[in-house]
Amino acid sequence: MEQMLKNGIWKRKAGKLLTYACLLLGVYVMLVPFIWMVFTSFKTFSEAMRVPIQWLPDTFNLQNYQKILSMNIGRYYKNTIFITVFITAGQLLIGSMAAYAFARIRFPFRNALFGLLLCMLMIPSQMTLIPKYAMCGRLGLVDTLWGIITPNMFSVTVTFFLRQAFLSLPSELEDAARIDGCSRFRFYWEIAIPLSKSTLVSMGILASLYAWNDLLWPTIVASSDKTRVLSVFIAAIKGEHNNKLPLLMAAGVLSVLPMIAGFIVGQKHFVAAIATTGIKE
Amino acid sequence: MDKGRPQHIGKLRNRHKDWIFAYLFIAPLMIGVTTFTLIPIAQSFYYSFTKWNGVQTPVWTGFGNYIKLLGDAVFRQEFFNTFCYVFISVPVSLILSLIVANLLNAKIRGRTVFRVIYFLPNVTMSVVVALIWTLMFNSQFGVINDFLYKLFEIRPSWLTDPGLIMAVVIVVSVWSSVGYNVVILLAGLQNVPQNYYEACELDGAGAISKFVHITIPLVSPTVFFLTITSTINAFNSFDLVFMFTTNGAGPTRDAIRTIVYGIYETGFQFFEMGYASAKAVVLFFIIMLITLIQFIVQKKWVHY
Repeated sequence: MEQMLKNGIWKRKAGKLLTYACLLLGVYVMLVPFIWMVFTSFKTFSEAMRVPIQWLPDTFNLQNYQKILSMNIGRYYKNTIFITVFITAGQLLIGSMAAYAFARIRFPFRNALFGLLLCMLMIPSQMTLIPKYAMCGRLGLVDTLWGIITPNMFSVTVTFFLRQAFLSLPSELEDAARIDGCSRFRFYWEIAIPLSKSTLVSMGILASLYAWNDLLWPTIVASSDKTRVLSVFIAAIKGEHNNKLPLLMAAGVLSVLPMIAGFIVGQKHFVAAIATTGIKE
Repeated sequence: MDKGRPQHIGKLRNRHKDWIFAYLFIAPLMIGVTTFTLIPIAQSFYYSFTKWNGVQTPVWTGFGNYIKLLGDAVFRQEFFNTFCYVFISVPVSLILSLIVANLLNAKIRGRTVFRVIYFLPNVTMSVVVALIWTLMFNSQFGVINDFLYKLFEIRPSWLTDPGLIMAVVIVVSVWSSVGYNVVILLAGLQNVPQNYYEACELDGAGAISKFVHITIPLVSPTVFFLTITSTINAFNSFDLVFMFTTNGAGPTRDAIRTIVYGIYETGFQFFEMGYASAKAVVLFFIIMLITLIQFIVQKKWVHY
């Protein structure tokens, strides 16, 4: 009996050790590329081309960063922030308005319209690239930042999850407020919105991640120098300076820094955001 | 009776006011979705039956584009590559994610830190992910070949060998998708009652049999959800392929060109918008069909 117990304990300890070993191997695989990028960004051209490879640069020199900063990256940063703010704000405002109506007001064709929206969730956006581009052309949006923003301001996903949040508000709350003379609009703006803050934050995170990182649509609709965003910039300099790896890495570090910093600070909210979209109910 | 009437009318008026309010509130979304999704879908179908360079008026060609697709070797390559990419990267990523999520679900210290690290690629723009990995896979001074050279004295040219580049794209896509899947699987695993495991332990089950007999069936709805969404995403992925094809010579590019890449190239580099639309329509039906098949097959393996 005692022998068995002892065996069990050993087995459990070995299992735990194995678990940590596997997880740490995973951490190694996940982190090495990032570390390698950061180290390389401080290297000179010749240091980066040494064989066998050398992990640390001889000195942490900033010349790659200086060069990238002299390449107008300020403008690309500004453009990226601009589109991210407006896409996120647009998705949240437009989505929450529609979500409120769908969740809390009875009106003709409500279910049919909502069903139509849900069907659209299944349409891959790649399918509509060409007509969407033509549409932007007709609206005079090609090669403007609004061309990136406008088609991306309408999110069915955001509407769907905000509707769920608004549905969960007790209807007595709204009845009581309405009897006290609170208008629909005031209820939406001063009660429903603040009470659904966590869903709004989650959806805001997802929207801004998408806006900041997307490549395909900005490449198509606005890739000239004045409307360039960071992702397009990276793709472009990769084409121009294919071999200047340290330079490319410095650009990469600068482009992902804000999102990674935000993620590390607010990781709890990021994880919650992802988890909400994965839960079907 | 007379007294009741004005009240009734008042209610009706109120209801109408509500309707107007509701329509005003859904108007921006409905207008946007109509302009940028609904009409474009219809147009995609229409353009796919035309020859159109994006500037002049489209010329109706009937099934011309679709017939051309059938005989197009480039499209056949795109089709094959897309399936190869989807059907390897999605299962590999899901299996790895299940293992990692299961390990993280045990009582271990530092779960949050692990989760943050695994999730890091998901907040990194995929353009930069591709950039990092071109560096990792560089044949001369990349980390991977440095390692391989020390062990086996080989230096495969990952990025320029048409036989290897697809493997690179798959590895990178798996690397960047595991964290997302893990987060969602962990949320699903949290719903598995702990006493199931305890009961199983009393029966003397080991870690592997617990994984196979309890964890997998109980998270199967989550796995199903992830299978559907990651398959759709994989069919639509563009960024990695785009990044690994810049400066790639013809054969390397052809080895990883996917349907979405084909849509981009045909439509926005060759300006054959009608032909590109036909590719988009085909992609749409492929995705629909695969999703439908998954919904039928799920009855066999998903436990609710």
